[in-house]
Amino acid sequence: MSMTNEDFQLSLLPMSQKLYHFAFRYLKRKEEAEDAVQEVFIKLWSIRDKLDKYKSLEAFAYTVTRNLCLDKIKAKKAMLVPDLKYNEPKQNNTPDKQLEDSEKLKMVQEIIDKLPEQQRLVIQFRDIDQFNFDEIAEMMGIELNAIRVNLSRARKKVRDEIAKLYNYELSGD
Amino acid sequence: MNLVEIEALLDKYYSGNTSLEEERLLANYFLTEDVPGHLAAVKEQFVFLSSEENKVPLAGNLDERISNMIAREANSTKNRSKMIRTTIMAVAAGFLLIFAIRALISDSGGVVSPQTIRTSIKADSNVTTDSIDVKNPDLNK
Repeated sequence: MSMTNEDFQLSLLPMSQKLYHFAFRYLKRKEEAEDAVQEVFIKLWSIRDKLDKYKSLEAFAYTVTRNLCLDKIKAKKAMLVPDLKYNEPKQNNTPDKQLEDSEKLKMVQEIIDKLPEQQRLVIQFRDIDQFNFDEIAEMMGIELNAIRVNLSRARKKVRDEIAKLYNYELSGD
Repeated sequence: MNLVEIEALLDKYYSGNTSLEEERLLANYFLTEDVPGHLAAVKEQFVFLSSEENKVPLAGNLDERISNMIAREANSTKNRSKMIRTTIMAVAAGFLLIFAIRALISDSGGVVSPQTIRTSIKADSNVTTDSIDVKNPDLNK
């Protein structure tokens, strides 16, 4: 039996926000992540009659999204600069303090961007987005143990790089 | 929470074994307390990870856009199958026409002209004498 538009939307549309969130962490830009999710839905729609053979529709949707994002990144290759301005900074600080804070954030952001892909995604999904381990495992298609290992490495690396940064600052004075 | 407890929790955190709840405790501590020098980098880390600026921005009416897009796709699929049906019917009609014409050709011995068509119609309606006249008018002269 062919899946109707209504069936399709009922079973897949609830995933859209999570897929968008996931795509954003790869593509780092709102518009690109939104476009990617739309492409994923077109793809899923085109194979709607074969979807029932997948054990977990969510896991499959994440795989499709991940592959699409990786293709897009590969196609662009030109350095993706993270969109740091996507949320306006809070206005409750004095301009100087605000500038200093956003400088610091930018530097830590650079540290995170330089992490190996899996470490970067794991620390973002966990420490910024606060997903639980099962969700991260499903999103990334990796084992729990691999998540812990990557997470541990990423956290230590970020801490150590920040420490280095501050030492540089001190010695530069 | 005292510093010893925090340090113990940090060990757990850096080995990737804290729960979300414990991580919230740590973040809360480092965002609100002044910490000794050796934890300055840890404090910066938690400040960064808790910053609103790093959150994923909300998607603008994504569901509505997807929903419209799927509806469009569904419609174009419907139109496409309609088009396929029309094409099949047109092709079938074409074949029928070809068969009809071929049937006529073999009836009239391979030559088709308006005259023979007219003749065969007359032959069919049993007008035998006239048909000779029509077929070969010169013979009567």
